[in-house]
Amino acid sequence: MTAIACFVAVVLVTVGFTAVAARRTRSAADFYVAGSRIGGFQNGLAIAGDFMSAATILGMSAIIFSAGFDVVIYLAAPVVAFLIVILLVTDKLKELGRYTFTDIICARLRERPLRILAAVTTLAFSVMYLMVQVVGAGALIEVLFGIRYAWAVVIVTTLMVLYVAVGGMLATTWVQIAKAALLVVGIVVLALLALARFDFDFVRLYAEADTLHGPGGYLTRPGGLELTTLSALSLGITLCFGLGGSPHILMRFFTVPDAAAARLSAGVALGAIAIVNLAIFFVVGVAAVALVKDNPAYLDASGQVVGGTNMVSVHLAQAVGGDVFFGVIAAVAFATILAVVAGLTIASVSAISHDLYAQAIRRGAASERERLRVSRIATVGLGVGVAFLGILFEKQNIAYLVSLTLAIGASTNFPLLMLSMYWRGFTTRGAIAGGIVGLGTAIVLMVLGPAVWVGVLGNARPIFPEAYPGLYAILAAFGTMFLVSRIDRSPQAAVDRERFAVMGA
Amino acid sequence: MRLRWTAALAVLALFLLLTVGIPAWPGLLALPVAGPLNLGMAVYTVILVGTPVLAFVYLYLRQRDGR
Repeated sequence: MTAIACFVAVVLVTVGFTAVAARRTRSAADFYVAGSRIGGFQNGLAIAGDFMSAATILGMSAIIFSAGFDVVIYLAAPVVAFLIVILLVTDKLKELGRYTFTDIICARLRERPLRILAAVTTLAFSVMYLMVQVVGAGALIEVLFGIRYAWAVVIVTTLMVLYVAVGGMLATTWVQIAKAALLVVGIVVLALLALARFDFDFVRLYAEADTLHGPGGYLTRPGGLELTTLSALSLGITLCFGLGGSPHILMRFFTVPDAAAARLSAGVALGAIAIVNLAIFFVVGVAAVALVKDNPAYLDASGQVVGGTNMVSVHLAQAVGGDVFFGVIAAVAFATILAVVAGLTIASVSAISHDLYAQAIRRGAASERERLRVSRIATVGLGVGVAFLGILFEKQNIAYLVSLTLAIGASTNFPLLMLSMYWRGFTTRGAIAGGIVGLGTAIVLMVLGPAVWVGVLGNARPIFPEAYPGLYAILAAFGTMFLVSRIDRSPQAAVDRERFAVMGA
Repeated sequence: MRLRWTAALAVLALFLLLTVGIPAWPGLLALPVAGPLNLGMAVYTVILVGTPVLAFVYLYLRQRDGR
């Protein structure tokens, strides 16, 4: 009961943010980028909040719980990706952009086809990522309230629609800031409480966890995920490039007033993510093995963890901090998911109303009132679609699903952004051909691979055996963009090359 | 600009070495360093601690130069 009270309190506070923000959201700029008036430090926390999703708080501990050391690929990738964004992307994004990363590409390539392409890739990415968050939230509510997973998914998507349709980016940013602060503090306290159970003796903690983890000693030794060299490389590159091309994270750099604040944002985000990922890797995941595995209080009749392995960090919170801390960590996890979901929904809605409707369909003639109306209708439509997908993917590991989603960002947005900013020879035709090939390859390989072909569609064997298809899609996208741009001799290509000067090269 | 590319690619290369090392050189990454800490965990720690430090040094230098 205490746990449920803590949980409900956090949800009510975040809904309160939304109500206050709604009164301050008057224009399209307010709705999409919070009027570009968020400070650098707060925005950094919001970026960290956008990134640290269900995959961080639930999925990473689950991978340590089942596979051990190999989780380092998932945990190290975000800091590397953020450094790349800080060093190579933020300044140009802020100097040239208005609302979305699409504005950067369109600053030098032909606008209309690129807007449509970028909107489609952003939508594909965001819908998949949203689905992943909903899977985590559904499992969490199922464990906490004992209600059916499908209903839990409906509740989460309803809240998501409420946050975004009413509050826009300002509400989303406030929720992100509060949630990122709660998450960093929550994970650090969880790690300290877990360590206290072992008298702050790391050697004892690791010895007990190693015994329980299973044969092979994979808790601290490489090999638990059974990766080949190629699949490991694919996973690592996908995570790095995918995060660098995540539309909901790139969009955050527009909510600050200048380039200096944008860089500070990225730095603060990087620091917060590093603290959380160190705590999860060295303590939380290991303590979950020591205190949850083989503990009958957290196992069902078949010997499986209640709610699935995605719930081990929440069970750990109960094991070390009792019902109150269990409620707090569950609430932090839920707020984490809601906030990420809200940020992703804003990015999707922006793609639909700003890029597809206002620019591509109405060719700039749509009024602000019309665009806001389309935004709110799109939010509801997204909610319905995401709830359906969330129910389909119920049993999949969240962090693994994130890696599949990031394959879309890595093979579309990232190459489009980098080549637009840094290669003079890049042309509109190359961008469109490469974007379509990258997106198509990522989606087709994902559907034919083990996660969908076997896990969702129930076939015995996957047609494409590789669990991590990102590298193939990235190579296909970069290769097509390069080749088509090189052979493009159209008049538009000459214009594209000439307009490279606007990138400040 | 060249320095920025060098720093970004160096950190990316270190990360990919750790990543590829998991299937390619598991024994090397499992070499004990101190207590339960092995070489793989040490490299992970270097990336997680070193990357934010590098970022803040860059941010400081940019701010000092007034850009």
